[in-house]
Amino acid sequence: MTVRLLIIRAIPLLIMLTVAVSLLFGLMNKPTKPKGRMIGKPIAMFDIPELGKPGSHFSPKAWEGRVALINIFASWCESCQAEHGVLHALSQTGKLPIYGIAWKDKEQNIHQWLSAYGNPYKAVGFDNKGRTTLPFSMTGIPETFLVDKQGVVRFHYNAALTDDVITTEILPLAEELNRDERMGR
Amino acid sequence: MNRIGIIAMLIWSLIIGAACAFTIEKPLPDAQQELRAKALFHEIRCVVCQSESVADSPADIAADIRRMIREQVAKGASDSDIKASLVSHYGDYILMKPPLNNATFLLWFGPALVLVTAFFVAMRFFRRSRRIRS
Repeated sequence: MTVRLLIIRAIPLLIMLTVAVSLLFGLMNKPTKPKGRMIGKPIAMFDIPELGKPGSHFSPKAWEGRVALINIFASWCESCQAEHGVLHALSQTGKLPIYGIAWKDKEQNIHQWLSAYGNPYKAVGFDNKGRTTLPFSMTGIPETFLVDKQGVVRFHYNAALTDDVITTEILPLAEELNRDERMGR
Repeated sequence: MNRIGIIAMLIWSLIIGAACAFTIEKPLPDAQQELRAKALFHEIRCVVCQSESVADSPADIAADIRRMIREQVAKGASDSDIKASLVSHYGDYILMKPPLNNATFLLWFGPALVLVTAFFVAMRFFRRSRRIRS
């Protein structure tokens, strides 16, 4: 009988604990962005002009046939500014061509930004209308993609790049992709 | 005077707000299609702001997804085609209502299972306590 009483008295405590544990779990569990969806997929077609060349065409054909890094940025994006130096250093090594897509920005601002901080890009697509959002399954800039010679995405990073990511992840993978495909795989 | 000034400002900001909301995004010319597109907006999650649908989100990417949905609706794509295409880009995550499959079975039926189990446990518990009392 006393055991039963004990059980009954414990019920509110149990309920409280259940709620507390689930709330705690909710707090600890960081909201996640959908990630890595693009890996193993080609980038869907889009057509935007090249920066400073109205009427021109910039599409996945720009990097066709080569292992390349595609970086989506904007002059209003602070994280893009943070990673810009890293991209610039990478472009100086000449190890990997970098293509830029200026996303939802004013043409003049991009020109100013690139002349102030340096231009690491082989070519820059100008996407002021968000035509590339879905082809890249974007969730927010900066976003960076490594594609192989077939144009398939092999690496996706959706935060500001660091030297570490470049030297430990991107460059080794790019080297491997270049090597594999030269051997006719 | 002061009060009138404040009211005038409020009305003015309402007009500006409404004007912005309606000029930035062009609705589809076909009212029926626009209705379908709007209904779809509520079923698609905004990928930037987690618990909002693209219908409610002011985020840039939500606007891009709204435009994509309108374009697809205008092209005559079915609702399920449009959803499937968005899922291929962002995963099941993009749907406000998770789809029913093996991975989400517990999510859908878990609460009902818990309720039924609790019901039987309570039945046994009360039945036994009545027996003891009598």
